[in-house]
Parts: sequence; structure tokens; C-alpha cells
Amino acid sequence: MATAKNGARAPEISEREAYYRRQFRRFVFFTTLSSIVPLLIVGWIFNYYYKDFATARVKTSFVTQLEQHAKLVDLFLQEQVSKLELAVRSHTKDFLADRENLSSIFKTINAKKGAFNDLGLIDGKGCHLAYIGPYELMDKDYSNSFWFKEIMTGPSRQVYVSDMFLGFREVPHFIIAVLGTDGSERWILRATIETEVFRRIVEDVRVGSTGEVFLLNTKGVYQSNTSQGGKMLEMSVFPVRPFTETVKVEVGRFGITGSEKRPPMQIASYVWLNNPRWMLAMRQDYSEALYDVNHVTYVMSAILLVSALVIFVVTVFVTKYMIHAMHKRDREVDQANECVIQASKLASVGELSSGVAHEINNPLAIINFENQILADMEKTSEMDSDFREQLLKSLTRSSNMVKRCKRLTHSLLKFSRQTESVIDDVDINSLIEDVIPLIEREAASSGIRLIVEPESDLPTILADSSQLQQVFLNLITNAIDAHDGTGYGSVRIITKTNMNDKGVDILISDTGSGILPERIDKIFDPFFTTKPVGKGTGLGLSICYGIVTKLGGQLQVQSEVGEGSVFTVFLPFEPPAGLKEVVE
Amino acid sequence: MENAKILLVDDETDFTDTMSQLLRTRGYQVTAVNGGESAIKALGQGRYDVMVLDLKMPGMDGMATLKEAKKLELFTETLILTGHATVDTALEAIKLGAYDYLTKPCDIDELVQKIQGASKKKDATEKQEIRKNIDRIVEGKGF
Repeated sequence: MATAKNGARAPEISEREAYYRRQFRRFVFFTTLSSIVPLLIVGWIFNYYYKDFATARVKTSFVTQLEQHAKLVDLFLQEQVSKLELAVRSHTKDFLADRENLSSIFKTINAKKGAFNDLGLIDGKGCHLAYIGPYELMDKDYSNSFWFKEIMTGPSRQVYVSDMFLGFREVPHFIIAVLGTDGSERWILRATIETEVFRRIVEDVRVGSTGEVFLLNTKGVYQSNTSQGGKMLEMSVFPVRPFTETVKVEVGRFGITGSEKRPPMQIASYVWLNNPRWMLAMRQDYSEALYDVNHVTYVMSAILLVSALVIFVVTVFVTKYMIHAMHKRDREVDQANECVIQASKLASVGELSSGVAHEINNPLAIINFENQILADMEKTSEMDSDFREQLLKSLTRSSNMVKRCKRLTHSLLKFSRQTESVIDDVDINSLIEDVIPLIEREAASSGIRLIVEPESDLPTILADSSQLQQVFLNLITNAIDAHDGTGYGSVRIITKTNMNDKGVDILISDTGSGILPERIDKIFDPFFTTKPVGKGTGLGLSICYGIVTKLGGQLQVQSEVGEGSVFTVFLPFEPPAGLKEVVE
Repeated sequence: MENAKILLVDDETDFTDTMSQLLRTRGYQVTAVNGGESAIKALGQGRYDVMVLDLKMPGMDGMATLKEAKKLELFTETLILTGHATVDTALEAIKLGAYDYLTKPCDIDELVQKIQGASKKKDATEKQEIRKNIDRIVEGKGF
């Protein structure tokens, strides 16, 4: 079925489509960019500061933990030293040289923790005066031992705590030696610390799965075993740090004992003990220490990613919707433009017609009167009968042609006068009722049945009734003419309310010959006619179109060749504001 | 009645010639002029029963001529005959006192019919006016 809707189609459709696609990409790109980039920046800043804060906390906790542990180790050592000092200061050498007495003291000081392995009293020459312990050390000479020399010959030191060493037993241990004096005589109370007890104290800290706590002497030798493989008396890969009484924290690749792989990043804290001069250190893989921080970072990255994805998807959908709206609006603008073009076409034809019609009317009047003069003369003059017959025939034909021209010029003038409207309440049903008698006779003579189906409660509209009469007269006459004198058929006129567009629809359908699809776009153009020469001026539909659109309505046609056509007039309840103002 | 005097006003000479001839054969006395100014002049000089007036003319147009003619306070009736007819101009002309309105090209019989109507009206108005005057004179003389 062919349809015409106010003229031609919008041009350059493919160019338009390309433009929409370009706009779509542009919108999506910029919207995504402008929303995701700030999101990422905010996320990054938050992450940066959170990491900073969390790292500081981890470091603080490393400091606190080591501080407490250092106190514990220090306290243990001081306690053992104090016990020995007390024994030395409160007893004489002779008292202590008595094995019974020494044994009693050993039991007393070793009662609680069992921290001492053995206890021996050594004279100024390095020989045992008395010895309590599990080993056979009574006959050992310590005069060449480093600790003996250190306390006897070194700067005046009352107490000496050794580093870990193997000693006679070839077992790693360390000793505490306290110098005692009886007048000029110097002797030493020496005790070996139970390595296991000491180790338990030193190593009794859990620092995650990669963490460890250990002691180093000033040369970097382990004074304790480590949970990550470091053995007592082995050289540590962990570097000896400068002396400090407060706990320090460092982050770096310190190396792992026995591993040749690139060492992991680690966080380490350390502090130096006073006596002995050992460095207590604690270290852990940085990634483990910062596990919580990293976890937060991962979660946050995931949230950012999901948000970015959601933004992107929403942007795509919103843009799609917007482009769709734009598309729709452009189509409406195109239609409006087509209406404007059609209207301006009508206006220019209108101006031209007005001038032409007037100029033609004068000569027509003259021809008409000249005919009349001849007709007058024919009545009174003598002439040949053949000539008279020819004259009368010519006069009749000439007169008919004048009438035909007059019809044309009057149509043209009507066409040019479409600008003047008188707006009032119009009852479309009664208006059609008024029009019907004017064409009833013509319809009857053509064998066409006129069927009117008015909607009973059709609301009145504001419009120009005389112009609308012209429209309906024209459309119904056309519908009758569309039957091409077949002698039968019907024209149906239906009125109904159109609540969607706020107006009324008037459908004029016929059972005539229909309109060819290639002609349907032209039928509203001025001077387009399919009627035989002299029957139609080609202005009727363009006048109707002009009137209807000026009243804010629409004139549409649907047609199928051989089946008939339906002309639909839509008229709004109220004409456009401009028109109303002019009239009021 | 048959000898009604007609003043034909139209800027197109061919038209006035043809029309004059036609009307004369129907027994009218016709004077043709080609413009509004000439028409006013002619009205001032002679008596006419009906003026057939075109609207669109160079110089003084039909409407202006009609207004001027009314100022002369004659009994002459005016019949508008124009090629450019609109409802508005017709209404305006009637308001200004024109007898009727015809569009070109028109049928001679129709025109004659209107001329006769106008002429009759003019006679009636004139008679009425004369009677009024007589009445006034009679009353004034005290009959």
C-alpha cells in the first residue's frame, strides 16, 4: 500500500547514520573518560594514603614488638647476671670453693628457670676450684680462654657475658663470668647458660610464616637459631647495623640464609642489647607484613574495575537512548522542514496565481462580451445558414472556454487567499451535513453511494468553517471522481475523536481506482492533476493541504490501485497559537 | 428605464469599448472613462443613473473613486465589476455604498439584470428624495 506523508523523504540517510555512529562513539568515549578517570584518580589517592598509613602502622608494630622482646631478653640476661653477682658478693672464695656450698647455691639460683647449665669457681690461674654440672670440667684450664683473659686482664670489668662459642664440649653455649675479689686475690664465678632455655626466650616470637627473630653479635654471627634456617654460630646474611639503643626499622632486601634466589623485600627492626653487645633483630617478608594493606588494595581495585565497567555499560545505554531520541527529533525536524517547503511552495504559487488570475480575467471579460456582441448580431443579421451554424458553434465553444478559464482563475484566486482565516467553534459533523447536499446530486448521477458515519459525541474544534467546507467539498468531489464513471461504488465519511493527538480525524474513503504509487508523493503539489484536461485545475488538493496544515492539522493519504483511497484529515482541537492570535 | 445613463469606469479601453457597444445595443446611454479622476469629473458634469466601476486601476483606484463619488451626494448607483474579487473587498465596497458586486468575466444578462436593479433603486431613491423635498416645500409654504 502506497502512502504519502507530507512530501518527500529526508535526504542523505547513510550520511546521517554515519553521523549518529560518530556521535555515539564520541559521547561514549568522553563520558567514560570524564567519569572513569576521576574515579581512578580518587581511587589511586585513597590507596596511596591508605598504604602510607598502613605501612606506618606495620612499622610501629614492628618497633613495639621488638622493644618488648628486647626487654624480655635483656631482663633474662640481667636476672642471671644478678644471681651470680649476688653469690659472688655475699660469699667468700673459700665458702664457694666448698662443693657442697656451691651445689647449694647452684640449686638456689637454678631453682626457678633452670637457666644455668653448670656453675664453677675458677681461681686466678684459670683452674677450677669447684664445679657443679653435668660435665667433666674440673681439670680444664681456662687460662687461655678468651673470656678468662677478658675478665682478668681486660679493662676492669666485674661481669662478663660471652658470645656463643663451642668451648671444650664443642657445643654452642655462652657463659656469664663474675669477678670476685678477696683482698688481692681474684677469682671468677662462671656459669654456662642453658642454651635451650635461652633459645626459647629469644625465639619465642611468632612473626607470620616468613618472619623470624634472632640475635647477632658485633661480627654478624648468629647467637640464636632462626626459624628460617639460620644456625647458631653461622655467619648471618643479615647485615650488622650500627649501634642503637632505640629500635630502628628498615625495609630492604636483606637476603635469606641458604637461598640463592633474589631475596624478597623485607621489613626488619633491630636494637642493640647492652651486655652482651648483641643485636636483636626481627624481620618478615614485606608482602606478608603488608598482607592486609595489599588485600584492601586488591578489593579496592576490583571495586574500581566493576564501577568502571558499570559506568561504561550505563554510558553505552544512555548514549544509545540519547542518540535514539536525537534520531527521532531529527526525523520530526525533517518532517517539519518538508511541511515548510511545501507551504512555501504553496505561498509562492499563491502570489503568482493572484497576479495571473487578475490579469487573465480582464481579457476573458472582453472575449466574453465580444462573443456576446457576435451573438447579438447573429440574431439580427442576414447570413448564410452554414455560416450561421458555424458561427453559433464557434460562439458556444468560445463561451465554454471562457467559462473554463474563469473556473481556473477563480480557483487560483481562492488558492492565493488561503492566508485569511476566521476561527470559530466548528462542529465537524454538522459541517459535513451542510456539504453533503451540494454534492448529493453529483454522487447520485454517478451512481455513487454517500455513507456518512459521524461519531455521535464528536467534540467541537476551533477552526475556519468556510475553509473546511471547501476542504471537504473538494475531498468528497475527488472521491466521487475517483470512480471514473464506473456507475457504482461508495464514498464513506467517518468522523472520530483522536485523543492521542488531541483533535479529530475525518476519514474520506472511496472504492475508486486508487492512486499510482509514483504519483502519490505529488498529489499535494499545485497544478498536479490526473483528471482529463479541462476537468480539474490541479489546485484542489494543494488548497486542501494548505488549509489543513495552516489550521495545525495533517492531510494524509493511503491508496491501493484498484481498491481505492483513504484521505485522512486530522484537525487539532485548537489551531496553532499564531493563527489564533491573528484572528482574535 | 431603457435609456438609463451609464458611466463605465475601467482602465482597459478594449474592455470599455466592447462593453459600451454591448450596452448601447441594449438601449443604454454609455459614457466610458479610463480612470478614477475622469470618472469624478464626468459625474460632476453630467447625470448618470449607474456607474460600473473597476476596482484595480492606476492612479485613483475603484475604492477611492467610490468614496469621492459618495462625497458628491449624487443619486448615481455604483456597480462594482472587477477581475480581482475577494469577499473582503466586496464587503468593503458594499459598506461604502456600492449597489452590488460582479466578477469578471461575467454574463451580459447578469450584468444587465444588476444594472436594471441599480437603475431602479436609483429612481426610487430619487423619487423618494423629491417627494421629501416637495413635502418640505409644501410644509414650508403652509399648505
